[in-house]
Amino acid sequence: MNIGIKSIHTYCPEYFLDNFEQSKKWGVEKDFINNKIGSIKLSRMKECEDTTDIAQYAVENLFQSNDSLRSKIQCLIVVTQNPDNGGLPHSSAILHKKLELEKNCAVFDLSLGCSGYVQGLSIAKAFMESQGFKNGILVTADPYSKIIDANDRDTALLFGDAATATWLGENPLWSIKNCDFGIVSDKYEALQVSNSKLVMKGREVFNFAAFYVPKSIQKVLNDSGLKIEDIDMVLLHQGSRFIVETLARRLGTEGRTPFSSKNYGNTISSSIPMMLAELNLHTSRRILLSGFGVGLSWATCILEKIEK
Amino acid sequence: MMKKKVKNMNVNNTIKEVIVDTIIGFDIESIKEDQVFSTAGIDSLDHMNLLLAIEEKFDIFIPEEEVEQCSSISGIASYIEK
Repeated sequence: MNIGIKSIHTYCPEYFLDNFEQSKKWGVEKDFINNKIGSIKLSRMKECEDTTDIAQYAVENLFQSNDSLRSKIQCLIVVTQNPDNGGLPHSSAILHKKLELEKNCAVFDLSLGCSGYVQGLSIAKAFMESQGFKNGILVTADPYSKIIDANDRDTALLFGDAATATWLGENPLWSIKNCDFGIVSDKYEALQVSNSKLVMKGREVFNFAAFYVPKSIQKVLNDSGLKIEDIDMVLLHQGSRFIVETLARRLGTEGRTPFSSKNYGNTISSSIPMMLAELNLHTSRRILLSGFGVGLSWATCILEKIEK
Repeated sequence: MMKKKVKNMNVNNTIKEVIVDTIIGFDIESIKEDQVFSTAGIDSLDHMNLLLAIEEKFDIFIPEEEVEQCSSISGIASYIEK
């Protein structure tokens, strides 16, 4: 049994914050927004919406393209750290009800941030293969608009809301290959919620990513018997344009490491699947994914296209 | 991580080399050694990246409370030579 990625569907809200406009209160120049933050707009769900609403929209987009799939889902996993109702019940349970899935379905949340999608892929694959499940959905939905302090320059210019739904099953388009995971937990305070608002120590997060992500990528390459030249695309968590471009320079993968969050912002665990869904990957055979952030944790893996 | 004294080395020139390598397109002739980076067009993120490159180059650790001191070429050199 080889469980992998069959397709990815997304939902990005239609309302946006204008980053140029909101940056005026700090005297931040347009060049800084364009060239360093990278996102000129930040997507925002409606105030009346919650995490499982945007998650539902992403999964319904998946079902729209595959009508018979709804009754075949055997596991539903939601990656979020901003669940509905404080997390009790788990958001995946609420989402399961909204989607009207079958009762015989394993349903759980994963409390992970920016490394959550890659960790979720690995967990879902292992779980489904061990149980003989043929169809599962990995959802990412972590709307940071619920915890952003609009007066905090360090975080208010970065994050956007979005959700994704990855259909996992047999005969996939992408096979999930070697992975690497890790955490520098003595730095967990660098990215945390305090008094219900997100607080970030930017330099610590940056140093963490710049130091550990290249090492993780090298480890996955070594474990796979590959070189960085063997990778067609390196898709990194879209923390900001600055961190993506800095890592690309350190890896020597400029031109193969896109920044694609210009029009919605850093969408946490959704940033990598958003890229997988939006980018033209027809000519790519091997892709490397690396998510990093809250924890401070990282997760890296290689996807290999299965030739049909 | 312990700081290591760097001896017999033209520290200022090495810092300038690191700036050129780290901040793409920056004209190193445009900045004086005691000039604060932010007044020379080096923004907070470039500064952060520069300090990481300095840490790697000199095998030192610059704690958060020393970042303000390390906001010019001479400031970084003073910290390294402490």
